[in-house]
Amino acid sequence: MICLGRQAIVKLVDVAKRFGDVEAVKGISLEIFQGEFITFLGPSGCGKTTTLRMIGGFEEPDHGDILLEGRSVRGTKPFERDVNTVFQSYALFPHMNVFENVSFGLRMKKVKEKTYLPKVEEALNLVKMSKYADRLPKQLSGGEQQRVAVARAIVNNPRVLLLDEPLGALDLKLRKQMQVELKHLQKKLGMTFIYVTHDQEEALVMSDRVVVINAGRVEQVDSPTELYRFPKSKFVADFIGDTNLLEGTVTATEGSIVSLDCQGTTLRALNRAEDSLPAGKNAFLSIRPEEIAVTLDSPISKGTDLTKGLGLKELNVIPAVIEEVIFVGALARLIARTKSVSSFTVTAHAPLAVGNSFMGREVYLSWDSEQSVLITE
Amino acid sequence: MKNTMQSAGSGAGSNKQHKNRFDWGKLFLGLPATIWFLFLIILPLLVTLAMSFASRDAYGRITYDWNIGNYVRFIDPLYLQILWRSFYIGLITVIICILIGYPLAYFIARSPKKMKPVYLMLVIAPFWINLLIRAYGWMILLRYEGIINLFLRRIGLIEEPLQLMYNDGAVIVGLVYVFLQFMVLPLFATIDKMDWTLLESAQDLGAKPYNTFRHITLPLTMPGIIGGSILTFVPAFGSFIIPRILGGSQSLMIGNIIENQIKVARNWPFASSSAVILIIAALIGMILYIRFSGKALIGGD
Repeated sequence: MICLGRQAIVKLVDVAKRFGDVEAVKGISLEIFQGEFITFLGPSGCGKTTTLRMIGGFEEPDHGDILLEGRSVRGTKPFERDVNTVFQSYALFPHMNVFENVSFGLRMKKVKEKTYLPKVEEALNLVKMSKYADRLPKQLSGGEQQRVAVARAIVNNPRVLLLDEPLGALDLKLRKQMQVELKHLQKKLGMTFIYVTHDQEEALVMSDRVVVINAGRVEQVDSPTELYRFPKSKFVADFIGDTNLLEGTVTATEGSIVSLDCQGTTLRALNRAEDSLPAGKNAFLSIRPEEIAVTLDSPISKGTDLTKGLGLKELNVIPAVIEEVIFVGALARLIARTKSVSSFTVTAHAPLAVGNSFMGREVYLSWDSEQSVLITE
Repeated sequence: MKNTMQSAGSGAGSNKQHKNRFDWGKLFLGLPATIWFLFLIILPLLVTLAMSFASRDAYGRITYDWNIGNYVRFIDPLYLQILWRSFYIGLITVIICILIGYPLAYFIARSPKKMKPVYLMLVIAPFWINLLIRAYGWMILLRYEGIINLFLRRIGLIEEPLQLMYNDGAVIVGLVYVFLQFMVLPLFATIDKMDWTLLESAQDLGAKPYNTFRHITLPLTMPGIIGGSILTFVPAFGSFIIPRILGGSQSLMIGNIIENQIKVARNWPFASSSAVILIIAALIGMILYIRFSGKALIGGD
């Protein structure tokens, strides 16, 4: 559907799975292509791991079909699928050393020692673990165990590698390092990676495409930048990064720009959907905090300075009072209570010193209309 | 810090004797067990050991004259054969217990959480009934005119009743029945503790169920097998009630010799030497077994 002519390496067709009373996956259809790094992102319990486990063969879908290279794998066992998994707990065999762990898959496939020896060495080299070949898993740190788990999976040269929150147990710094390493490894191998995580930042950093899953359904499938810039639903806008969601009713549409009446204040937002919205319909405006400029003087009276050459028409302006300044590292998060739209609190970003100077003062929040996205769901 | 505290306490102590401060609290906790072991296990064992080097006069009185006569007497084909039979019956019992107990323990460990205590309770339940009564229960089943023979004759499978009792087979059946739980419980403990994702991981890497069992499940549950084997072998090897009731005179075990020497022959010194030999034989068997299975455990492939 996205890349016509390219055959999907994994194809999910309306896959559903239920555990007792819980509908874990409620009909997911998806095409995954050769060599891409695709991430299933969603809150815990959204069905992302279940979907992954169905691809791996650990769960059988109740409904729908899973095709691997065009062939249905329904009813085939994990050991019959050309797919390997890196488990969240690594699941290294505690009674085998690193070499035995990594060579396990090839040994089970009756590959001769002469053939698998260089392969295992290569895999260990790739994850920089060759020195630890005769260590037992318990003698390794979490990060090292994780590398071994990756080596053990890729040594089999699977068509698809499944990774179930493989960095979940690592500390933040190591996790960030491993994210980059995994991404590089995937590029180098040209292997298809299906990655599961609940960490939106991780998904944005590593993926070619992100599948946002919520309550057993796919919310949106897009590249990280598209996903961040143009969330299609309230859930995605809220789940990926920080955002301000303002509710209003549609008053007018000019091309792709829709005017919303938010409790008396008119705000404009970009509508990416093809069909225009009828006036009077309820909708949300999503604006990222980093897009909001905070100024003491109204950007309207000051003219073109703050709008950077944009016409006034394209600027959304709300007067507000800064109620709180929270230091979060590189920037401060400003919590503003808007005057005209009193029920909204708006988060904006500014350097700490600037933020502190604004504390308790009346300011103007303004942003380019095109940076705010209209969301109807 | 310990040193300064000690020197402060003892005052003028020029010569530095590094005595560790005695932890009375720990001693207190260990005291009941220590007393128990000392008086009810160690001491009787020492008495047995001493008595095994004593001799008995015509009236059954014991004189401690420190001779090895009782041991020499044991080196007799009759007794050695009984010792060997005890060993072999114990061994067969352990093997059958593994064959029955492993699948059972596996089944319980894989059962839903709610059902596990129920199944474990059922495994332990026979324990609540006296061993003797249970042994007689088997007699009712296995007897010449017993329930099994009656049933087989009724359905026309046999014409003459089978000799099901008073042989090694009957003893083994009885011993397996009595000691099976000692196998199931440690096995359950290790199988239940095992990380199931390891099995998924093995399957994921292309191992078929048999290979997953051989390369992952079996080595990882080996401690349970070893523990269970020891717990079943030791009492089976030295048992006397089951062979007495179900084995008759044809299937004597070393436990029966000891019992006979004490109760009938009133030869306590010879009973003692037999008991010492039983303990040593069991120990040797266990050490060899742990050595052997320990190697299998580390060997992996």
